[in-house]
Amino acid sequence: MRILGLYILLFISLTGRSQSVEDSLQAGNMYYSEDAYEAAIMAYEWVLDQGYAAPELYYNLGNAYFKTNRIPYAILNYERARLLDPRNEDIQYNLELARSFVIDKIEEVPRFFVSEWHHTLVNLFSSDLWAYISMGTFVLLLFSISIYLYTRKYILKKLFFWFSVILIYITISSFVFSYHHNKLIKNPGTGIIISPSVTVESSPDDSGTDLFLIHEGTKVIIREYIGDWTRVRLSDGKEGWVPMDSIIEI
Amino acid sequence: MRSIFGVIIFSILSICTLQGQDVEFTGSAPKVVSVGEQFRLIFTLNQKDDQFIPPDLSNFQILIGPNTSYSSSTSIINGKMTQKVSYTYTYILQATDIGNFEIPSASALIDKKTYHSNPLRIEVVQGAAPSSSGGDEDPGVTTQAVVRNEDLFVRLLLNKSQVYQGDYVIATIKVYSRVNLSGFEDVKFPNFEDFLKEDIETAPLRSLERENVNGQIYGTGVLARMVLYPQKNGTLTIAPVQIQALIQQRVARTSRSIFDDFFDSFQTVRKDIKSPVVTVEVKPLPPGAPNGFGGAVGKMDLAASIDKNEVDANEAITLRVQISGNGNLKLVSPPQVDFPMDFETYDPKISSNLTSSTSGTEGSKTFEYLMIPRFAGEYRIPSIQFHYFDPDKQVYQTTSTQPFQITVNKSDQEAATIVTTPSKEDIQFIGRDIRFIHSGAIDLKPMGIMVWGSIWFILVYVLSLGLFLIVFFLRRKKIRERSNLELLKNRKASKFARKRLKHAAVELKAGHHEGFYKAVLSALWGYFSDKLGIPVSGLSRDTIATGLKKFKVEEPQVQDLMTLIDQCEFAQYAPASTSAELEGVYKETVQMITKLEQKLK
Repeated sequence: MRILGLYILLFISLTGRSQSVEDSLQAGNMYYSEDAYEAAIMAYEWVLDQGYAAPELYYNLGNAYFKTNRIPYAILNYERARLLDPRNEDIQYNLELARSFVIDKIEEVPRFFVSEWHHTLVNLFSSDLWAYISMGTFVLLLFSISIYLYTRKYILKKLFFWFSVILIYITISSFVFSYHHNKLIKNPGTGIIISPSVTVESSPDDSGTDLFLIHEGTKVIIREYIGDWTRVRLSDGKEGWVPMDSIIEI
Repeated sequence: MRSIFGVIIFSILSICTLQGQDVEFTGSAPKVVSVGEQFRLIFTLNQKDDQFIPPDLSNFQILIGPNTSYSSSTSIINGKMTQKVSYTYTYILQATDIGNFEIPSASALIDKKTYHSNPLRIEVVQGAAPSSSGGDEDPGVTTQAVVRNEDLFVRLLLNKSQVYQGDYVIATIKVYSRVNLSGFEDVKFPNFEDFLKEDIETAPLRSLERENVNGQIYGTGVLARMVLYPQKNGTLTIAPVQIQALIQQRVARTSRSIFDDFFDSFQTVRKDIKSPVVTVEVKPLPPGAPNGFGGAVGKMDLAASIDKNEVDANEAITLRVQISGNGNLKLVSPPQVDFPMDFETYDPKISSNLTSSTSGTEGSKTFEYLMIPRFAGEYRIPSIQFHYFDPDKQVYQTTSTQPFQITVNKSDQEAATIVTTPSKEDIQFIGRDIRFIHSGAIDLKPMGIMVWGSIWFILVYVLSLGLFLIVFFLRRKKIRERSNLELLKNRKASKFARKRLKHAAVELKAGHHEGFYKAVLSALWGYFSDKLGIPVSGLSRDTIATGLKKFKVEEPQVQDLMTLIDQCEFAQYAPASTSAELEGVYKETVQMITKLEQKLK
């Protein structure tokens, strides 16, 4: 009964035009605190439908899905939250916990250490923060070059020469990182399996040979789409085709 | 009182049982008789009839008949009473003509209903009746003659001599006799190598049936029947059947008493008989067997069923696959079933219900598969296919079942199984939970809009770079403007100096050493005047030295210059020097000016 009441309340609050997205968000948090997870999910999803996003919103939505035992959707939202805010410890923790419920334990192919460093560096800050860093250092760089050019003092000249070199490196790399991260958010290229179990086929049709079976919550790399089929790649390098409706892109 | 009731109930019951019985009305006669032979035609009824209508017996001569007889038997077993009654009508007939004759059915009227007996066929042949047929043989024959091979033999008969591998052959072991057979001893059947043998149940041999074999009447009896499945290709031979037959022969006695005429005395003679060797040609199955063909031959059908379409995870489902029909079902292997990979499956439980008869082995073979889905989801068992070879149509046939759709729901036990797993990690895990939601203020941003690539992000770069470049170029322009005037003078100076030195070079060529030194000196003075911005009137060695020092010209170089000037001034008035000396001075001056040019720029 109580949950039904909450639904009605939610319905009214959703149809009321004067209510802003912030209010809906607060309502979602309230429902969550009162263990009305379904209502909380509705509230959060409504905010997303309005075209607003924030890492915390995805995080809260993931929590609500987790509490209703829909692990794949929880993982999906945690992953989305982590993309926007890679350094958030809470997101990281809950994602790890949700992942431990996934049936498939796939061994990851160890990455080349340089690409591992690159990955950690890119994920050090969010795309926006990298962009700000790049802009700031660029302006600083121009100042530094100006001082190098116009000073007559030898020591200053030498100092600002090296300072400029460092700034050039920082501004270019943060620009690149911001770009990479931005691309990752706009087109992550990965997806979460949402069907309880999917048979991975060797070709994009039902008559293909069954290669292996994966279960809900497994993260896969999306390679391409053909018709209703998606070509996926597991983190251990296995590849195959699954129906498109069994997977949601992050 | 009680006993009277009992009797009434008993009699009612007995009537009821009588009334309740089905009417059986059968006729019987030997199948084959010889011309002139007397034989019996018997009709048997198991109930009292109101009227008996005999059949048309015009093809035979009726010697006696119909004789009516009645018999009844009552038996009480464990207090249950059964009563059997039989009425028989007997004719004794004699065959007059050779040929096949039919005795149509006789009719009987019981309770205003007409019942018919089975029609009979009788074959009349020319030839002697077998001695085994009873006591109607010639009593004068008292032989102890050896039983001839054509009087008693055994055959192994096959219904087909050519079969496909996997198809069946019916073998019948039959005895033919024209002697008084009393029994068999030591019956040896072949061991049927290269065949799979299924015995067909045959009633034990009690009496021989008459049969016409090449115009002779034999008493025949089937000893055994079996279904044979050849296991090999090629021509297979079946070893002979060996039987020791016991034959009763009347013995002629040497001492005759008066009783001997009344009592015949008999002697049992043993005779070994052997059937001829039989061969079967087994053809291999034609090519073009479909994929998955497992050697099934015959006419078969496939059916499959599952007991549940919707189950919870970890709940067992049974899939029953039944192959029924006629053929080598005993050798049929389980059909290939493509179970979903997530299912735990076990080897099938095989049960078969097969009976062998003269039409081969019939029945069904059932495979029961137990499967346990471990995870929730929608699963599909594709249609099961079964291939067999039809030997009549000589083609491969395929039957298939419908596919099955199975919905597996999440089970509540799933969580429980996780808890009970004796893994240390899992036990720790129960106490873990996700962290609470972020309840503070959330900075919502429209989706997909990011700092990188936005207009003002690009503007920051473009504007700051633009500002930098504007400042840079403005400053450069100013510097250039300031330096332009002196640059012009500088260039003029070098030009002037070179011009002066050109004059000196002319003098050098002419060999006027006085004119040469004069030209060199005037070139130097003019050069410094222009370079250092000192008017000609103010030029002296000191002013040049101080002027040069301002330009950070080093002391040794200034000294060199001074020595050069001194040298030139002295040489101007000195006696004529050699042209080589002049040449050296010229070169030194050019070098000096070039060096100073670099400093004074």
